[in-house]
Amino acid sequence: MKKIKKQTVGDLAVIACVIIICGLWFSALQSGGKSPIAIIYKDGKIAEEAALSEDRVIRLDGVVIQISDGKIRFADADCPDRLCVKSGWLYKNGDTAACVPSKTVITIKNNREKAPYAVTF
Amino acid sequence: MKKILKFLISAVAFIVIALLVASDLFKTDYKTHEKSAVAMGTVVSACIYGGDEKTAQDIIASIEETEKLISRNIADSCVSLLNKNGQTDVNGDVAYLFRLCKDVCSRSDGCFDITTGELSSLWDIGGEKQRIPQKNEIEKALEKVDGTSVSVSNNTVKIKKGQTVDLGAAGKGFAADRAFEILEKSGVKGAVVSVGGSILLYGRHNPSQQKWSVAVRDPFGSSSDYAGVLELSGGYISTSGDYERYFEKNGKRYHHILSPFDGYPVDNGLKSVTIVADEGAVSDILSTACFVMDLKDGMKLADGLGVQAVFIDKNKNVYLTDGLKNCFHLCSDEFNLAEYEKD
Ligand SMILES: [Zn+2]
Repeated sequence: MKKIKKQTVGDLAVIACVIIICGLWFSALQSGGKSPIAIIYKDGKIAEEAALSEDRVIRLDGVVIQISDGKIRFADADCPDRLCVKSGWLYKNGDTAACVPSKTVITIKNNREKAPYAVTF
Repeated sequence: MKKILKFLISAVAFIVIALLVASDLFKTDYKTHEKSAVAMGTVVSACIYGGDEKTAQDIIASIEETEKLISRNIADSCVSLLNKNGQTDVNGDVAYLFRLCKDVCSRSDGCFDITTGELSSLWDIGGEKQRIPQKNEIEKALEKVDGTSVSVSNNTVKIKKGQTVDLGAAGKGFAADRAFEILEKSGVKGAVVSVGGSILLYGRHNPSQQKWSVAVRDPFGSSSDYAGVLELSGGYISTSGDYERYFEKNGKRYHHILSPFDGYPVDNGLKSVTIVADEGAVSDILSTACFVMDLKDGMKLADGLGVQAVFIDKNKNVYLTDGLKNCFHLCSDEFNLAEYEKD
């Protein structure tokens, strides 16, 4: 009788462990899904990590970057080609645009959204 | 009996849950370190899986080094010295790159040609002085175009006097090859290196050896629109398209891929060509070569060299080489997967 009880306690312990592991696992998955941000690189260094949830204007040397409605873009630039401004709004995970003359890159990170590992163009 | 049953049920439950957790664990990507910068006139980035940040930094630095070595916009690069003096000594890697360019030049019947430097300067597409040149200017620039006159012996490259070499159609893939060497020494588990649209997929991104997904840009849409996605276990991918650099005048598009034969932007019905190869320079060079050639001859060249390709034409037809038929899917129903008839 005593033996059976021990077995049940063991089972319960195993099941409890599994539940705890699963709980931890799912909470880890949840915390991995931070809200979307834009990483702004200038001269190869991160100049800013900006949350897309907050509308604002970021002025860096040579470019004006605008965040509005969960999207980000080069709103204005001093560069001659203005290709950066023409790239338009970025909002999808992995979206990237650059101002080559001013060495500025914007790239979107959104852990909640699946994206390909790379884009060929 | 009850005891055994209870034990079995809990054991099975435990195994099932453990497997579920484990399989999810195996499918979770390694921790990443990512770095981006502007180099070679485009965005370059290195994303390292299961490694350190230093490797990402080293790769960005090596791409910047490659730019200094082969850009013709940098006064003391070996390409600038070659253009200035008609000959120059280069390192073994660059000598190999010149040989590769020469080889594809002859295999593509001159469709791929690195001696079009003066012609591209004339158009300056995407640059400050972009314009449609006069016919006689184009004819004059075309006289200098002849890829067969490039010679490589040991580590010395020579061209004909007056010729201008531009490695713009090979350099990004070449930079990806240099990145591979760094990754091999670093011991990282996996990496994605992007030099503009030239991609290196290295190693793996999680323990289960899931394939990498690489989007092929929609040549009709904006830079965040994809025509399709490739699922690949590794290798190099490059694309050439008429949307990368261009200007429009009187409703006509003038893009940066110029024909070495008539000196005008290539107009053969293709919008983009993507090449998957096991060498970066090869994928980069062949994407331009096939774009210039056209669907029929480009397919033949890709097949003959054993590389894989995605051709997208102006009617939104997508043609695949046989090796990609099970690892490509369309993202948009605007496109049509078309069967290419070989003769
Ligand atoms: Zn700009």
